[in-house]
Amino acid sequence: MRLPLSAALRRLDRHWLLNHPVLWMMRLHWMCYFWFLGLVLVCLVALVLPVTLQSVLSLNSYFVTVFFLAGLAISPWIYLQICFAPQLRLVHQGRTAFFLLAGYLFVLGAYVAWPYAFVSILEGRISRRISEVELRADFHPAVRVALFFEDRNMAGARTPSLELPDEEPLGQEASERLLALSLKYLPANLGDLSSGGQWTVAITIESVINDILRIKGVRAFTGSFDFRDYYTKAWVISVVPIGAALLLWVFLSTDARSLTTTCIIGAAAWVVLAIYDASGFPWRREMVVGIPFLMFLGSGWIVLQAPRQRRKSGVFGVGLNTFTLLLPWTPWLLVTLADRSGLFEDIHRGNATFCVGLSIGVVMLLAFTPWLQRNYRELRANPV
Amino acid sequence: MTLPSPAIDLAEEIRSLIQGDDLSRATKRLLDYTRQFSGQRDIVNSAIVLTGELRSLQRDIRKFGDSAERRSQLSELAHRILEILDEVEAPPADDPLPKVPPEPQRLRVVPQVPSLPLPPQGEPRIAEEANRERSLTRFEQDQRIFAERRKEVVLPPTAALEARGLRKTYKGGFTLAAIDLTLRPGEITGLVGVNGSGKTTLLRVLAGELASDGGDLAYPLLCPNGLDWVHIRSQIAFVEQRPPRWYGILEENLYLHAALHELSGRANEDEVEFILHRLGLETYRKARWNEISGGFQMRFELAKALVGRPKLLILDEPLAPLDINTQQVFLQDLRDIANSASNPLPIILSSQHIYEVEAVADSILFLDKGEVVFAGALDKLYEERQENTYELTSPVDKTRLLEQLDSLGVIEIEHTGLTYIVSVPTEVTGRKVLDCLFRADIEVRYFRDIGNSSRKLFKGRGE
Repeated sequence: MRLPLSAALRRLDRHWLLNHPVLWMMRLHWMCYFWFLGLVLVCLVALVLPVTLQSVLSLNSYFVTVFFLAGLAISPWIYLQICFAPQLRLVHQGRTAFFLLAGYLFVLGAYVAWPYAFVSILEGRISRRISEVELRADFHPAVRVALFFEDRNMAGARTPSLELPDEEPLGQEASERLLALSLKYLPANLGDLSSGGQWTVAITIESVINDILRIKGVRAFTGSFDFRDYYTKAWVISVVPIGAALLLWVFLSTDARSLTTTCIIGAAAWVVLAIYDASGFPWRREMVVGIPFLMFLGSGWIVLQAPRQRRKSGVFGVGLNTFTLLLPWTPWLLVTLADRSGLFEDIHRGNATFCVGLSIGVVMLLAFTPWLQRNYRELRANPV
Repeated sequence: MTLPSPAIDLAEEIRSLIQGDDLSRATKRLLDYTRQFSGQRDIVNSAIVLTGELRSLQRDIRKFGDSAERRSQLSELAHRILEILDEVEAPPADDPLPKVPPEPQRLRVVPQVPSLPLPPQGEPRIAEEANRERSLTRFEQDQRIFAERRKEVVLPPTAALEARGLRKTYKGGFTLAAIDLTLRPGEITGLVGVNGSGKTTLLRVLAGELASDGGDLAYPLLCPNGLDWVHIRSQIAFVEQRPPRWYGILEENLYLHAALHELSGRANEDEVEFILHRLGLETYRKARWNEISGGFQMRFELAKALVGRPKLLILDEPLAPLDINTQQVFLQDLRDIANSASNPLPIILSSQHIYEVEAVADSILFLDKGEVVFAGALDKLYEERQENTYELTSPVDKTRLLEQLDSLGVIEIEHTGLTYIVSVPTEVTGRKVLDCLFRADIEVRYFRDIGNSSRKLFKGRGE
């Protein structure tokens, strides 16, 4: 099958093949080309997809779907990188390793931007369907109705997060308002007003309005917003490409066996820490954050033994892999570990810390790349 | 008068090949010649183009049959080979030597090749004509020119690899014991032995894939200062018995491999083009791994190994997937590669095709159960023999054979299933053995003197 590449791209392909083999192997030119085509397609679909206010309920599904499609689109490229990896293992130098990792981060980051672009366009279109004034007008009744049904059904299980004027119980009026808001903000099949579902409906309406307010960038009610979904997306589009790029790069530098062993050890550590975290034992945060940091330090010590290696060592390989895979997360781990006041447990500060920490971590990783690659080369070259 | 220069020797070899109607090999050697001695891209490219044209013409002949037009084209190609030789031998423009008068018509007056293959007698042969003309008009000047331009090829005195008492033990019990081995540029070493004798293990140790458990291993030519495996392994090409799959178009893999070995731009293209044509792979350059046979996969592996410009070539059972014709071509190519005047390469290859390997190898290393049974040139094997050994195939049974050969003082007859290995005293020649058998009216379907072959070392070994 011939790829629909333009003549200019084919010329570039040839030039890179002969002169810049690493760029050619990464197929950066193809990937940019197909990324652009895919982005145009995604944007077109997002522009023609019918949206209503209720579409906010489907935004997560849209995000996941397009994310999955982006993953499918990029999987042949990942496969190609894995196939070509053995050719590079003994040849490439530190500078090449840097470009490889930067290229992987770039390509993977670009492709996970598809769902973000798709959802952003949808959000923009949803936000234009209702004015801020109208939204603000609906917000108070929605919250009050939700609280009313919450009090009645849940016996005050939920603490209101927003100070509201003390008014008379809504009674019959609540049901009428709920019906009116349902018609406006919920799809028809969610408008179940029977007594068991009224609280759920009210909460859903509140959530929809909150989301629309967020989309519109209204800050007045920020205090009551649940940003978890929003940051989940941000987490996905940052962590997934970084993690995938790292795994790919480590595979390229080492071998499947060593990487698999590292991943098994990592997964086992993850499970143990998750169980510990859920168990309610003391020092949970210190354990959950501290153990990976200790693993990082331990693997760093193993890596420093590199000059003494004369044979290919499984322990050294796993240590080097662990060190490389944990490196970008260490600034964040360190800050979280040092946070005795619990300052960063707040979701907003926590997310900001995570983003800044991760950015510093990626820069550190790129800076360390030539050194890591030198160690990997020695590891690969040494006889078993 | 024989000229000692490798360049002149090679040119003479090419002319001789043309005389012998072997244009395929002549073009291959022409590629070697232009690459090693011309130093000019245009001339090498002319040789590459010519090689491609010859292959195309040969395909046409195979497909559509011979014809006068095609014979004429073959003749024209032969002329062009000679023209290229002349071009390389001609003095450069700024050469202070007196200019040879241009002889543009000299080769054109040579009659065309009358048939395919060329008849043994008939009209004057192209090369003979050219040689005669050269000998009459330019011989003395050629001598002077080559004396100045010749790059005297001196094989590096340093060995590429030296192993002393090399040992490797597996947990399963197998031990590769005390191997002494030296690989020098320009030499081919054949590694033979029964299955499980440790050939692949030894090759992997030499290639730096497996660590030895004892002994000394050094790569003086590759890394004079100790064992820097990154440096050493980047200069070793190890072609495995089962080559890993290639992804994508084959020629792209070669360009990539060359680029990864720091050959970029035009140099990269030239190198790959040369290797593809030199190994006769240009037809399949656009193919993918699954579309070519195991034999071509092995040849492409060799091509990939060579575009990396290694300093040591290690091949594990490369002949296994090749047909009998291709084996000859492959081994001849290896011989040419090893003999390269500009870049003589040490080669070690393991194989079960002992006769074919012995034909091109400078020395043989025979292993059995991890131990060296014989190491050295085959002449040594012959000189040190205690008996003469012959391999023969006959429909008669061993008893009958023994009865007939008893008069010759036969020492032993071993039946290996298909053949007999007959050992007789050193004074009993092959002719005597055959005479004896023919007199007794015993049919002999196959007969070979294996006195100077490692084949006789297989006697009583293996399963």
